[in-house]
Amino acid sequence: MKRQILAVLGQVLVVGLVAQAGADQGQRGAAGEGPRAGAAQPPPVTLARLGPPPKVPPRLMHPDVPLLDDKGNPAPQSRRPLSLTRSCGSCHDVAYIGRHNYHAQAGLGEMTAPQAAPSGRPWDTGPGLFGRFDPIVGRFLTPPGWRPFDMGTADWIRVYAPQHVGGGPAEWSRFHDGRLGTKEPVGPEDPDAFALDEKTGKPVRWDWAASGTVELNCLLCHLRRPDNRERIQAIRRGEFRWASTATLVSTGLVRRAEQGYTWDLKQITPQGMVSAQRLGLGHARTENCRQCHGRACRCTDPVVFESARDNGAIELSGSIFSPSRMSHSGMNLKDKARLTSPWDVHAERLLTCSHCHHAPNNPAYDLGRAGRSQPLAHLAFDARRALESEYLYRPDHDFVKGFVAQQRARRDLAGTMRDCRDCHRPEVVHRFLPFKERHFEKLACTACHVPKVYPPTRQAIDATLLRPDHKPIVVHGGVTGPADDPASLLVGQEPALLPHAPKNAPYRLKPHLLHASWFWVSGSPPRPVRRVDLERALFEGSAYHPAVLAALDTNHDGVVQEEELRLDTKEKVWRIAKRLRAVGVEEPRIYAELQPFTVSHGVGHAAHATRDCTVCHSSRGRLCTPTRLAPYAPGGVMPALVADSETALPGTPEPGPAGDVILQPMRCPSGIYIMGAQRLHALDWLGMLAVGGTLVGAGAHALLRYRASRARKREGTSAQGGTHEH
Amino acid sequence: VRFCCGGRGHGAAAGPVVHGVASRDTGPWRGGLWALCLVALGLAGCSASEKPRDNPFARLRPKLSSTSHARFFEGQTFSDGPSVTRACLRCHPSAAREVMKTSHWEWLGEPEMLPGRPQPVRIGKRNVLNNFCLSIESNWPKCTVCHAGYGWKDASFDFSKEELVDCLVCHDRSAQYAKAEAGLPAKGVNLLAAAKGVGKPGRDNCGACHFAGGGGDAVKHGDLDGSLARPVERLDVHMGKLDFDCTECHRTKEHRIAGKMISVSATQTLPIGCTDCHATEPHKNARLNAHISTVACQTCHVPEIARMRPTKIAWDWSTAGRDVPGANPHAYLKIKGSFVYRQRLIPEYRWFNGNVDRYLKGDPMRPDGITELNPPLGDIRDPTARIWPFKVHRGKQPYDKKHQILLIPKTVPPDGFWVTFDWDRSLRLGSQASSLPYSGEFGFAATEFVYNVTHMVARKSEALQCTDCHGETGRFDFAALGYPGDPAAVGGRFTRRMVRPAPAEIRRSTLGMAAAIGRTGGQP
Repeated sequence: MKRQILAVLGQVLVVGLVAQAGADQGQRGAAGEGPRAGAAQPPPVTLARLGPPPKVPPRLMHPDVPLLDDKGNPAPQSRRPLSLTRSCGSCHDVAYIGRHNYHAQAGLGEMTAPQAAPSGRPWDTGPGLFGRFDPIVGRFLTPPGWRPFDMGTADWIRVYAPQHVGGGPAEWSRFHDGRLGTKEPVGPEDPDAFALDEKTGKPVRWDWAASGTVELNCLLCHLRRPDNRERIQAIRRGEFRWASTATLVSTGLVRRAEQGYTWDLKQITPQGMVSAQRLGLGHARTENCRQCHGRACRCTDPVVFESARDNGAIELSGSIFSPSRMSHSGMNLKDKARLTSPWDVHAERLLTCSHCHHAPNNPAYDLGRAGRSQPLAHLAFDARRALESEYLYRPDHDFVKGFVAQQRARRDLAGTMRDCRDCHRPEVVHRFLPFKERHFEKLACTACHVPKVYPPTRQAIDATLLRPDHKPIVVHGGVTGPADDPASLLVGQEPALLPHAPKNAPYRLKPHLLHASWFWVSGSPPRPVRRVDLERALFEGSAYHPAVLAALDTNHDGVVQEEELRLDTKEKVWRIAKRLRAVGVEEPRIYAELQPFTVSHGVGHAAHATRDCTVCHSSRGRLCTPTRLAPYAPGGVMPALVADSETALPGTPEPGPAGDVILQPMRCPSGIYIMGAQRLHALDWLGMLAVGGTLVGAGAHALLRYRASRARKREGTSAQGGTHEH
Repeated sequence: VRFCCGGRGHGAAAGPVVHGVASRDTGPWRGGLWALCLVALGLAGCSASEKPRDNPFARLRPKLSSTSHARFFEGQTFSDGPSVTRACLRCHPSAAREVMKTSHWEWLGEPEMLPGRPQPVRIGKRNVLNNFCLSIESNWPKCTVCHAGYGWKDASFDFSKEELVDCLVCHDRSAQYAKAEAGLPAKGVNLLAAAKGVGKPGRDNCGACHFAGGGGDAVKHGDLDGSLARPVERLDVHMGKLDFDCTECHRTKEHRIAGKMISVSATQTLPIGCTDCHATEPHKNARLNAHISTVACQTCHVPEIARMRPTKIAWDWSTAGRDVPGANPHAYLKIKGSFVYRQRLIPEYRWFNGNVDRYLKGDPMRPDGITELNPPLGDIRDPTARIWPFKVHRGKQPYDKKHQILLIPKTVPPDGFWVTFDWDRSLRLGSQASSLPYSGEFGFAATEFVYNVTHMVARKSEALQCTDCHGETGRFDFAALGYPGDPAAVGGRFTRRMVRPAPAEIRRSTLGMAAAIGRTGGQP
């Protein structure tokens, strides 16, 4: 707002200065010319200064940056793609940064053989983005020799361009130590050398020499305004080596050309140098993280939800890390006027992502937790740390992180970041809370401090069928109406409290969103049915195949309505499976799984936290009421929890009364007992026994005493009689 | 306590107890009384150990209803304003004398010391220049529409006549009264109806002048406009939600109204403040309370002004006098020049210790720079200064090129600029009336005029948050305020770094903070 005002006032000032010159001339003419009669526009304000002086931008300490190509020559002059390995590598150890960087590695160093991945899925080949199947994407990284071929490395780079920063598997082969494309294919369907031709469904050789590889893109996180969209487009076009250059389009230094990109040489020295300020280089900001990780920003602008047009992360975890108030947002929130808390109070209190998720060797943030690790258990704090110069040369990009169910790659880093109690003193402010230590031990702070998640999140994805636009059916939670429609009312959803038990750490109840997925698998060992095969099975041209139409069109109106687009009968499943078999899919069957997402962000003001004990401690509490997982179960298949979430379900998914799928909590799951919420029958019997026993004991005792007193009376009477006799 | 009491009483009632009062018949009663005392003491102890809560309602005065004056004026007729005043004075004989001691009558304040001047000066609307219609001198009939008196049309107005005091402008509750040129009742006003309808002043009484200053509604202040006559809660929580009248805060004794406007006064002789009702540390959050010694309440609680109606933020007299057919009257008027209006205006923030300097008639001005007419005093080293929100009005006014002083034009009819559109003649007439030298050479120079913002207090849920001021997108220019950087990162005036202060430090009062900074020579 302020900037807009300044911009407008600035324009007024410029125009005004021009007008002032005219006015001065008029005055010098001693009023002989007089006012300009009939002028169409009013004379503007001609104030010398309408706003405060512009801020002097802070001077960056970063020196000028050489823009070099892969040969080490100035890229603007050589007209070759920018090489950040060369440019940034002039001062920083880029190779180290690339290796110690789970954003880049994406699980490359943790790949496994098929059927040995932590997820338990037979087709997964790793825990990270590179190797772990994502039902939303619907494509799986084909292991060598597996058929049919679905996704090679080049496909993966293009599909995951919005989520991957480059480097790692986008640059280096998973089979050898060299770069992609530097060795001959190991087989006819080497996934490094082939890519899927989506028209034919067959693998074709990928020309790495033409595309190049996607190097680690430092600019994406360290540029003030990186052009991520242009970067993604360059990658999607297969111009991998231009990805870094494309990121600079928004700076005005480069622009798109017929072949690659061209530089604006006026802004760059003949040596290829440009100032860091001109580039907009600096620390990674929350806005940089936001490009991939949900709706995070430090700005105070109202949050507007863009739903499907937004990135996918927000639809999974519901994270909005923004300081602006929910009541100020552009979203159609229920009871919006009362939601006066910021989307995340930490963002409102000036924290950025990197304040918590910092580089572990950053000397400013090094926790110095010597006491928590062996063999320095005798130290409470280790004051030794990297020098600033050492850190700047080799900043460790394996950022610290917490315990969440959705973490996959570098699980060994879980719990390395500060947790709430490292910054807060909950015992000071939770005076009202009984059994504080017990609550803090077993309950994550977010369990109460994130009582609701307001952005609509993906609740279920049904990829057993495709919509007419060839996309799977997605059901959102927390919204009444289509998630894409700004008029839909966002009612929010209470995340399920699930016990999360990381390795070597006790369980804690944490809020989770549960994402259920249904998709086809085939063969043995099973693997996901390729999306291209599903499309071929379901569609003929742009319309549904007649056999599919006949199977789904239950009201025989010739159109598959939205409510008809579901496999809710055995016959429908059989017919679609038949179509899949017809296009060559072996043994098609429906697979369903449940992926929990721990809710860690979206912490509101304390006043908005749950303070009502009965929210948990009652028979209708959060842990006792069923959680709705999906409106229906395709093929009647109940989803099973993925094996690598380190989270337990306090019940089993089962069909609900309305045909939906619910998570029915058990009476006493995993040894958890919550007072007021659950009943242990043995304990009840024991209590009743104790009370009954006490009553019986007291009664028996009273009876005995009564009888004893009567006996004593009788004895006394007889004794007195005897004396008289004597 | 209840358990102990119950146990004792039970014991006393159940059987003989050898010791204590419980052995008598009154035992249970006495025990109960003792228990009640213990409970009361416990509660008192608990409440004494807690910080006093912010309870502004405890300091509110009860709303009194006005006495109906309808029957007092039965059968009377009023020919003019003074006749009404004479009728009022029959029952309120001291009222006019009280009013005549106030700035609402004199349009002059008490003698005040201004920086760089050896003697105290009396300033007020009567003798200062502003950034709007510039000055009342030579322009009395138009400006004195808002005078609380009748007939001030030139310099010869008699300020000693009690009957010229206008009671109705403040006390008419019938909404049938209005003033015209020279403060006389407007044509067609039913004075009898207005007199019968008098009562305690309401918002529209004060607003008749204070909402419409500068020539129209919302022009001058930004935080005072006609929308406050019938406000909603989101506009002003005091007036909208709690239905405060102006006099709830601007408390009045013998017609002396508390509160001073820095446009016509340089010091605060009758100050009012939020702490008249609220606690000095009203927030539950200690970090917010730690801001109090540096940030005025209004800074956070009035996040924007002119919420409903746009206010004028710039006025350029230099363009006046041209014929511009079809010009938007809110952007240009031939008689006044060019304007800029803004709605939902974010204030500008400056240090302010409650006092301002003042450009006075004949003072040297800056032909090439900006002449600040009432710059707020105080800076980062002034422990009594806090960061306040201001509406800054920027103008361009005529000045004498030779004497380098701001000039006062005569604008009003019959021979002022609004009729003749002749700057030279108007400035000559204005200078004669205001005793300013005029060389005949004039130009236009930039001026700046500020109002400290204090109305339009938003709901607490709308108050500013950390990121509104701190961080990259914050609205504060910390460098201009004298900070080496964002105090959230580099530390504030009273802290070397923004660390969690110890509880004892948090509780230090503003006075304690001031003393602390005094000891360090004002160094941050």
